[in-house]
Formats: sequence, structure tokens, C-alpha cells
Amino acid sequence: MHLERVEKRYGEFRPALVGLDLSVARGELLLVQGAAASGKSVLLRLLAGLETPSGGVIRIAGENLAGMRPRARAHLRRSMGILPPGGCLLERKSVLENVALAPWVAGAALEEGMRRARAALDLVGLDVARYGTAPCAHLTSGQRQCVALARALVNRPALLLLDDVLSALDETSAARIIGVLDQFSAAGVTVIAALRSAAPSLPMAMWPARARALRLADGRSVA
Amino acid sequence: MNYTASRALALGEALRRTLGRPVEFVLVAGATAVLLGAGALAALALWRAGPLDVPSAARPQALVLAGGAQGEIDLGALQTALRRVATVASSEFVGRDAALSQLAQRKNLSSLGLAELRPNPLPDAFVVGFTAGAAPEAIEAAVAELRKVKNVESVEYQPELYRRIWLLGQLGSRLGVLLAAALAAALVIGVALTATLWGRVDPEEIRLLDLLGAEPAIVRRPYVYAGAIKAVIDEQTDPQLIAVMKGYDYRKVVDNGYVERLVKEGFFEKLFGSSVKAEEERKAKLAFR
Repeated sequence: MHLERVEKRYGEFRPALVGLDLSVARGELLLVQGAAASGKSVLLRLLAGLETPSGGVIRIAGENLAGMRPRARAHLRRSMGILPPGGCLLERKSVLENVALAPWVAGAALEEGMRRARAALDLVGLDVARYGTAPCAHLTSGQRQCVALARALVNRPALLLLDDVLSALDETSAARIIGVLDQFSAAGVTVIAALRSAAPSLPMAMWPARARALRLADGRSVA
Repeated sequence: MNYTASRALALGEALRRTLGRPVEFVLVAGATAVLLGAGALAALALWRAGPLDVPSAARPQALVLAGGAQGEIDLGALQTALRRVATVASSEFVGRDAALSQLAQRKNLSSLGLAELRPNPLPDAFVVGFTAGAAPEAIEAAVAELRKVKNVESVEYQPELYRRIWLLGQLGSRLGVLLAAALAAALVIGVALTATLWGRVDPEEIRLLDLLGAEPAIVRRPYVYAGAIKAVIDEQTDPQLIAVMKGYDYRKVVDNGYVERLVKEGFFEKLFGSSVKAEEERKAKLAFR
């Protein structure tokens, strides 16, 4: 994945991203750090093809993301695992239904989707027998984060884009999730996780040493 | 269950739920019907406000020939008498001189023929127009009454022609009403269903589906399938058309070669991952060749 002089502007407001150059190799674990409104979420949305940059080029597997047609971008997203801020869960649907939605969209059979959903929930440490049929509206914020993360992992994606990945998680859960992401990364999955630098309760030392950090401030990469 | 099948199931489920709420459905359908009815009434009022342009075929006419020599009859009184007959809407005087000058203007009438007509002068005549859309029986009764009017020598009228036109008009009118009713009913049901379903669309769900990359499955089926072409031919009922379609060389318009090249180059695998390999192989077997 290569980003060359990527910019994103929203109308007359200050630019959300300015001249960002970045290369991420397959299987790399990249931690994007920055305060609120530093451009972390915008960067992830651009990488997911949900928005197009105002300037510069983003290439994924050699393909210019801006040059791809919307349908091709949608297909590309099927090979990604995306954790949006807040999780973006369907409140009235059960935990299993929420997670199984991703394989269903990717064309998997319903039973296969449910099987994968159970495995993904196990992976993130949520008790399927207890919470599997519960509506997401009944969950705590930490559990909701786990469900959203399970949905991002369930399709065995080639690229994980995780916004505010450790939000609402206690130290034990966070350590578990970091371990899972490390496993995925070691298996060749590229992981890009955004972290709020204003949440120092979970030290960087919890992350594996091979994780690389990218710090953003006011939409710019800072040393 | 693939995505397409799931969408069909989802639609079925939505319809089932829609019809499972009869009160809500009836309310929406009623509101839609009122709106449509108001629109139709407004359109009708606008149409009626303008002058009605009745096609000439729907305006029955008769030619009334006046008897007696020129100057012997009171043409004004005769015209008044003709207009008094029921269903007569208009009467236009066509004098013998005017008729003769019209005949003289016809290019295909030889001067010899015109010379023969001069010593044998045409009678004065009236073109009588009847009320548009009047029943054939009423017009035939009026024609009989016209024949009885003083100084009327004869009345030229073709009852069979008008009967046929009138019958066609009646059939068309009834069919039009039936068609309009069917269309209005379909529209009411369609709008009601759409409105009901629209109310249940969850924007969050749409956003999430977009995030997960949901979209019609057609993109991952770039091959033109042989089965699709066969199905189109099988649907035809005209033997002549079937023969033409079977004889046509579809290779002129269908070329899967480009897709095959992309598959060979690994374009789709690069784009969607190695998991599409099995899908590619399965679909390649179904492709038109």
C-alpha cells in the first residue's frame, strides 16, 4: 500500500490531511496515533475507499484507488476488515446476526456465515453461548467493540482498518485484542489501527515491538 | 444462500411484513388513492377547460339536397328547419355555384366532363353535422326526420360506416376505462408498497452494507453465460423468429475473450483475492463460447 502526497479537504475548513506519504508492507502492523481531529479516521476512510482524496494517489496492490469504479471499490472492501468509530452495529439485531452479516454480504452461505461468526466471537473473547442471541442494544460498550471487531475479522481479510480499536476495552480485553491482531499480522494480514493519543491508560508497550507508529497532528505526519 | 438469493428472500420478507400490517397498508394505500384521484380530477378539469377537438370520424354528417330550382325555395328557412331536428348540431350551406367552382378546381376532372355538368346544374345542398358521439339509432331517426322536412329532396347518409365507427369508439372507451382502472390500482398498490417499505429502510443498515462492500453480484460475473442466450431463444414463441435467432452468430456481439484474458492475467485475483479462483473456474464453464 502506497500513499503519495495524499490530501483531503472538506470545503472551506482546514485540510483534514496534508501531503501524506506512506508505504505499508504486507503483514505490517501500523499504529496511527494522534489527538481527536488529527486525521486518523479520515486516513482510514480514504484507505477503505469510502472517500476519495482531494489530491495525491493511494495505491493498494498497485491499483489506484481513485481510478477504481465504485463497484470495484465495494468489492475491494470485501477483502478488508473495517472497524468504524462507534462500531456501527445494528442495534436490534443479535450479536451473531451482526457478525454474520459480513460473510453474508461476501457471498457465504448463511450457515457458513454463522459458523465463522461464532469462531470470530470466540477469538475476541465474547461468550457466544451467553451473548450470541442477545440484541446489540443490550451490550456494554466494551462488548459492542468486541462484536464490531469480530465482524471486521470474520471474513479473514487481507487488510484490517481499525478505528479507535481499543476504545471502551479494559486492559485484559485490550491485551487479548492486541494479541489477536499480532497473530493476524504475523499471518500476513496488514493491520492499520488508529489509536487516540489522549488515551494513555493502555501503554504502547502492550503492542508488539515490530509495530510501527505513525503520528498525525492537524492532518500532517509528525516525527 | 448467495447474495442475490438473499436479496430475493429479503424482498419476500419485506412484502410479507408489509401485507402483515393491513391497517397501515390500507391507510397508505388510501392516502395514495386520494392523492392520485385529486391529480386525475385536476387533469380532467384542465382537459375540459380547453376546446374539445373531436376527430372528424367521430362527427357523423349527412348531405341534405334541397329540391326545386334556384330562387324557388327559401334556403334560410330550410336551414332553420334542419337545425330544429334533434341531434343536429350544425348545418352548412353548399350552394350549387360554390360546388361547381370546387369541381372546376379539381385537376383530374376533364374540361369536357365539366362542360357536361353545366347544363345539368347541381342542386343546393346542406352538410348537416350531428352531435358527436350520438347513438347511431338517434342519428338514423334524425335522418328520417330530415327527409320529411319541406323542400328536402334527398338525404345522403351512410349508416353502416358510422355504426362501425361508433361501435369501435364504444369498445375503445370501455377498454380505456378498464385499462385506466387497472393502471390506477397497480399504481396505488405500487406506491403504497414502496411508501411502506421506504418507511422501514434503516439508514444505519444501508451505511453498514456499504461499509462491508455490499453491491449487486453482477460485477463478479463478467462472463456472458451461454445459458442466458439460450434462455432468451427459448422464451420466443414465433417459429420464424426462433429460426432466425438460432441461425444468428452470437460471436459477432458476445466476446468473452477479454474477460478470459483478464482471468489469465490474474486481474480478478489481484483485485478480490485468491478466493475468487474457484468462482472464476465455475463461471468460466458456464460462459458462452
